[in-house]
Amino acid sequence: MWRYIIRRLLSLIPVIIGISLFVFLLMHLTPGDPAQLMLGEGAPAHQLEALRESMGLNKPWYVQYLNWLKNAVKLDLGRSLRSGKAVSAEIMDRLPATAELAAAAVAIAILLGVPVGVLSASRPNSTFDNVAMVGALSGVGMPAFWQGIMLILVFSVSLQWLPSSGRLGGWQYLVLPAITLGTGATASIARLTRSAMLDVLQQDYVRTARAKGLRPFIVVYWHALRNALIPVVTMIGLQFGGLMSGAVLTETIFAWPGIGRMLVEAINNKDFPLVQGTIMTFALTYALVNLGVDLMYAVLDPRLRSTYE
Amino acid sequence: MFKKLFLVTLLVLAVGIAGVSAAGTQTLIVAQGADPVTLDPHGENDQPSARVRVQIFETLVNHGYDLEIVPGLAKSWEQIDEVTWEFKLQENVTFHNGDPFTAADVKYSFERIKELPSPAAFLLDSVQEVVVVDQYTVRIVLSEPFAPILAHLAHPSNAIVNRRSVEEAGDDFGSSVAVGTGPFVFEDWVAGSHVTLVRNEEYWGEPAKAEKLVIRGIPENTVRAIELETGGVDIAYNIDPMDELRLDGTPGIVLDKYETLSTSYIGFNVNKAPFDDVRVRQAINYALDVEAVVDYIYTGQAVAAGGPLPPLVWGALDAEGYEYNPEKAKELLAEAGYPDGFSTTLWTNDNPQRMMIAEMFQADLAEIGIDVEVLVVPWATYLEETGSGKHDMFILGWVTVTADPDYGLYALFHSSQFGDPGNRSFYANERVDELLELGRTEGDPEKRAAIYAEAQELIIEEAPWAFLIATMEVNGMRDNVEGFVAHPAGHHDLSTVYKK
Repeated sequence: MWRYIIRRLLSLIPVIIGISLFVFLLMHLTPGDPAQLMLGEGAPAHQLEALRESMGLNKPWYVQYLNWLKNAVKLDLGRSLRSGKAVSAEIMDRLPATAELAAAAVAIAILLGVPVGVLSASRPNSTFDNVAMVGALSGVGMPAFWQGIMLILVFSVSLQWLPSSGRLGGWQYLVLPAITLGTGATASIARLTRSAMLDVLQQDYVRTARAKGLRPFIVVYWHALRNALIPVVTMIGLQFGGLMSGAVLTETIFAWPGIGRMLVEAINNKDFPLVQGTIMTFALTYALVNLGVDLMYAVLDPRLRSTYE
Repeated sequence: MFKKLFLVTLLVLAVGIAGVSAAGTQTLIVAQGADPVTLDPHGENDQPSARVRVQIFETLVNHGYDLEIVPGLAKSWEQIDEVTWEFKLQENVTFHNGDPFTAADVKYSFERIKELPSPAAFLLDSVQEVVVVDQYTVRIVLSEPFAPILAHLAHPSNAIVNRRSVEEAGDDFGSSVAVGTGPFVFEDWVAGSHVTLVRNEEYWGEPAKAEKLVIRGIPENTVRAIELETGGVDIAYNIDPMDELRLDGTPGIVLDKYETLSTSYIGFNVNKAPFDDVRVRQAINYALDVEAVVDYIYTGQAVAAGGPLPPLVWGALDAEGYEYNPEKAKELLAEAGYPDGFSTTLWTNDNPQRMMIAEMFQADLAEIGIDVEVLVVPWATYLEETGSGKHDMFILGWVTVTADPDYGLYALFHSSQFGDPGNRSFYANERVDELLELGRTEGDPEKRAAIYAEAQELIIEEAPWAFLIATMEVNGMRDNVEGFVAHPAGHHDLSTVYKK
């Protein structure tokens, strides 16, 4: 098992280097000059030149990349061009807020999505199933910016139960952004759980379990759900990775101090080191979450354990 | 009996507690559209950062609310000769770390701005040397006479910092350390969320009214307005026109509209045909229905501009400008040899208001036979390509931050400033060049005003721009907020503000 994990971790190295090179090229091949963006529309030429020089932008791109890589190996991701702060510090300032939001959203998605999917599957084509699946469909389709503002209008403006934005301490601040971010994932998980359960409930061993006279509750939640969960776990892993990086809209609407919003601002400002560092963080998170998902398979399905040797 | 006694005690306690909380910490919460980038006044020169920094740091002189130069850390000043200015500094001023403020700090700060270089270092381009005369006297020696020097020194980016704190903090200066002389002391910055400042109890001037100041960044306009509505914040800057309509008349909310130092304009690339013909440029000025833009896009958060400078800038000409007259536009086009119009492009970045302006003008120009293709270009690309002159027409804005006509004209219309420095219309006129140079050196305000009046008349006549609007902004506040006065430059002083 450990050998498998180490092998997987080592295989990440070329992937991460490849991504870093790709992002670097992408940032440098698109037009736009960070010095110009910092100094604005009327920057004197001599000052533009001085700033480019001090930011190291006058060197050829491959020299800039190799310098970045050399430092990155020593875990020094450089400094943000705009704020002058260490990129690692910028990321560490913002990552906890995003992780908290993504975790809350995934928790909502699991706690709501899985039971709804199971109930729908155990009573296919019932009223509950129909209502739940229409709800899930609209959940997948609802744009975050609209849903977020609607939630604010209802729960902050009309009912005055929850604050409308920020992360100023207290669970109240987390509720609306987590629901907004979690809705899509809840809907996807509910739909997937339903179809996986429908499949499993047709299996012979489920019929056997029923024939033995086991209580329906035990059959569904112990025998069937465990087997239906494998695709669902994959989906949860992918969703979590996506939510870590895809929370930009939710973070903007709720003024949530997360990393997604920071990345978009950094891209607009061509803040190369900050973009590079943030994407590396996303890539690493995604890869580690996927590794975690693969390991979960072994827990859920003993037959798969031998493949990890 | 006991019951009565108990009730009375309870009542006394309640009154006591209420009294304490009323006299206790008063926290003022202010929301703006973005987070600051850095609190180092010599770092990035952006508005959200400046709005926090002006509470912590101070400059030698200030722009008062009417944009006159008023004393700051310098209590008086005198021009010794054409290139030497002497400043007498306030005594008994201490930095937030307890160090006394002296002439050495002024020298250190200005040298730091030039050495870094600070993104706003160009404001001190004319400064050759800073000489410490004695502890409270400092001289600024210029390389050549430069009339707007005081206006430049009043810019928040030229704030005075404390050498010891800058050196001790190293790279942390501006993020976890910010030591100035201002009415508020930096306490804490939660990245992406808010900055907390507390009242400077040792402040040399009138102390701040509020004890605690929390400045939040809320990027989404509607949510910022909703926070104001629900009482989550006391003041919200930059209320969007759409939210202004909704909030207007809402009980408990006061809206405050003020004129700014910003303009928006359409620039012509005068190097390219047909825009090399002044008649074509004038024709387009006549063809644009600017009032419609003011009414429908800005819903009153702007005024039509008659010339290149916003009205608040010193020496701005109260010009009529070009009225909306499509017939006259057609005549001029015919005279210029384009009776049937021509095809061209109008560039804009992805700013929603600019894109709407572009569409409205596309329709206006179609009326006189000009077929306009609107190109929406990402901001970084936009700056780069308009700087190198690839465009035909483009929409851009300019903020005359120093409120001095030099800042609002030189970079935009002098022939030495082609491209990136600001003259993206590549306009060149010998007389305008001469006047803009004279304006920099002329010390007599009356003569200087006449020089800039002539320059503006020439620019309006020659129309390297289609003059559009001077913008206004709206701040919203709860009705218990007192003492707030908007500053035209947008970085409002919050030391006078308190809650009733």
